[in-house]
Amino acid sequence: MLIQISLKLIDIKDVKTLFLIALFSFNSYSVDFSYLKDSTKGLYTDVFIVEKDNEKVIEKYFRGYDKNSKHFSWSMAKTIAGIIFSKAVDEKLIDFDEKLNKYFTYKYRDPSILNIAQMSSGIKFKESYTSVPVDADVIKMLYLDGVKDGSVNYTLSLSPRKELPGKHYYYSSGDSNIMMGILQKVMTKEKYLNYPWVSFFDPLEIKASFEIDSKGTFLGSSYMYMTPEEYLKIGRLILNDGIYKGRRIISKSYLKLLYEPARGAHLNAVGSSMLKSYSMQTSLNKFNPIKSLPPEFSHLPEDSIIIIGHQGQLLVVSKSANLIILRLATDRKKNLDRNKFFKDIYLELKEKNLSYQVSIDSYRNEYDKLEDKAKDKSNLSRLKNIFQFIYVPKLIKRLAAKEYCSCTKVVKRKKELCLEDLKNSLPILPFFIEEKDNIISSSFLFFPAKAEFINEKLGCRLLHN
Amino acid sequence: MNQVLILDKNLNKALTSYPINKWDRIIYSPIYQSEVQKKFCNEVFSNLYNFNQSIEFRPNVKIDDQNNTKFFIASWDCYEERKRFDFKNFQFIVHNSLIDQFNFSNKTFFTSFRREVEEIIPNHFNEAIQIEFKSVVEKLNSYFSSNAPSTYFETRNQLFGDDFSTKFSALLSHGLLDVKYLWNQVSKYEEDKVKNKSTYWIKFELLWRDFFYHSYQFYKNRIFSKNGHKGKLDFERISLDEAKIMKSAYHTPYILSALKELTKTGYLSNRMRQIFASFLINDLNLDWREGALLFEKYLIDFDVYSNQGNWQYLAGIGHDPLGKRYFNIEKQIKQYDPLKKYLTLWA
Repeated sequence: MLIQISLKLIDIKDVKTLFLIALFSFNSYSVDFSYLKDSTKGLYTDVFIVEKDNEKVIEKYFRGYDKNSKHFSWSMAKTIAGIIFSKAVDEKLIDFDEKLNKYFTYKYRDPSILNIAQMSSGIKFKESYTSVPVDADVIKMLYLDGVKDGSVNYTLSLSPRKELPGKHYYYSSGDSNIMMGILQKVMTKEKYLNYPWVSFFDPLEIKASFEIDSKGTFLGSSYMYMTPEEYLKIGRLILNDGIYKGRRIISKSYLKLLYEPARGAHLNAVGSSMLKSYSMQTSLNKFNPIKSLPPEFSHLPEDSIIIIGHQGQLLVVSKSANLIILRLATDRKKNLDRNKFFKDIYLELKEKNLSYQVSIDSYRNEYDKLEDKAKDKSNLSRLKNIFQFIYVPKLIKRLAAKEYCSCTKVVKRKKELCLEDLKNSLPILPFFIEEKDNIISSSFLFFPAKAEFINEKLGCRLLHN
Repeated sequence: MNQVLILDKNLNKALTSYPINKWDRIIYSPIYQSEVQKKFCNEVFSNLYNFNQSIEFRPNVKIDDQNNTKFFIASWDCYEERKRFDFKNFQFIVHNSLIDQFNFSNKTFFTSFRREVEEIIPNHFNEAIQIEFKSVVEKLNSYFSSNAPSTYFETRNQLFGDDFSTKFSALLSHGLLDVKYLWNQVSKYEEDKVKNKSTYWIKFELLWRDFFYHSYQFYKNRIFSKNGHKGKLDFERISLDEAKIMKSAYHTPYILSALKELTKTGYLSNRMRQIFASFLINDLNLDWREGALLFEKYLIDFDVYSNQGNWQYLAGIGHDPLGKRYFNIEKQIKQYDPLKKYLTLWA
């Protein structure tokens, strides 16, 4: 029966109608935003909201999503988990100056917790999906070896980078999960499993889901689920200097850290854009004074905080422009040209007399220099964008079980639509996906992979069999 | 650019790999955790000083990074773990092993390792160069001129004495003695004097040392996990509580003696190490890593690979498939110290 459903979904008529809807839905803007829904390029926008001066200028929902439906955060979770971690620092349970080896054994390096929060732990964690996907540690941590041993243990079993802690920047989901592992160490199990809600979500009146791994550690790197309105709330919280309804949620000291670029990111950004500026689990748009490089996004204000998820999710907050941009998506490839996207928003708002100052206004010369350099390397960078997924059946089974569980149980999306999303990210679907007593099992023939739905708050987790 | 050599544990190899006038500075900078280790490092330095008077001695010190300087760091222990070496421009000098490269896989056991290695390993390594450090020369001369090598197999399980074991371990772990040179010496002894099970067994133990080293090259950080490299990963932090171990050993005279010998001399016989480890793991139910930490702090012949490997072996999670090892102390004593000489020496 399931095969039939999936066959129906690739009906040509459906694709055509989707495309037509896409074209018409963006018609009211002077700037052409229709590429955001161009499924031929792997772009599937679900929610697109721009809030300027506390008013929603653009608000669009697609593909069965609406105001009240939860959405996958992917890596956007890092920033929010970082804020939750900072609550424990405020309570003096942890100090950013403490060393990792106080809590765990990692024989090669001893980064401080601040180093870890700033993605500079010195652990050789392979984040990219570009080469052989099964080789990527992020996939292994979430769906393969990490299921058995827990994400923290998996990360700590890796060898070190040659760069030293605090002297480089390498985007790593492992670092985010180590932070959650440290948080787990300083409190009882019961307190830990309620901590994100008690310390952060409840005061903000957010009903988020936040998933855990087999060791009960929150997967701060990837799995958080919130409604668009709730993502906006987090944007407004940052915009409002960490104060919600007269109550301080983010401490002043952490806000300062949040806006201050990590030295490592400016010194030596390994394996990512040279222009990258990064602070506490979040990207910034700052000028790099060490290498005198302009901010990464030319059409965003320089004081922006940019929260990025791997399927094209974006949450941008800028205080100087009083601007929040939210895009929730289920992109198949990392194909969204973010700079073009931000430029289009800038032009669209300029048209409506809602202009704001962006970084290209101050650093035009530096951008021109960069453009000349980039022309020579354009061919190489295209090769890097091939997003191949996974050939190992075990991985496909596990990924399908976990994501299908989260999609149907946490996001509460229709089963057909969930299957469609899965099909976008996997080369082949498992033949059987079944649900029984809150356990989703998926298999090709034998040895099903199982994901268990715990509850509304803690969502789903993979079971090790 | 200045060339600075930092010596830690791989001394002979580092000093013979390049001509000595290559270096602008040579600094001996060992890490030690206890008084016994400190004392031994002083002894090592006197050897180095006799060899070359320009070598500086700066133990447990963080050396500042400087521009225009290239650092060569000689170390054998998990050479990537160098918290105090905060250098931009550096190169490691490693290897004090018999086999430079071995294709280790997760199915390699010692027996298969030995079989494979014995086919390719020569009787004499031509490339072995040994500096004539005073203590090395003395030790080699006295050991190989005696009958001890030909009785090693029978005497190696004694608890104390002068020549019951080779006692080359401290020289090897600090790299004063080149392991290939030692291998050559054993081969020479076999050709000149006697070749029997005992001389073979010295080589056999040297191969174990290499086996643990190559095991680390394959399993990396996993050798520090609580459940061993094959079990479930667990990197939970443990701390060494010496007072607790001392207190629980108080009513077991042999263990107390072993603790005294360990903390005062930095040395334990092979048999005593095993009895001690078995006591800690099986009778006190301590985490084996705590015992490994204790050894790391006191042994003057501490070698991270052999230490982790042997503790794992005793805890039943190492390469050996036989499971947990239990040593009944009374039975062991009856066999190896019937006259209670060891006890009267240390208690």
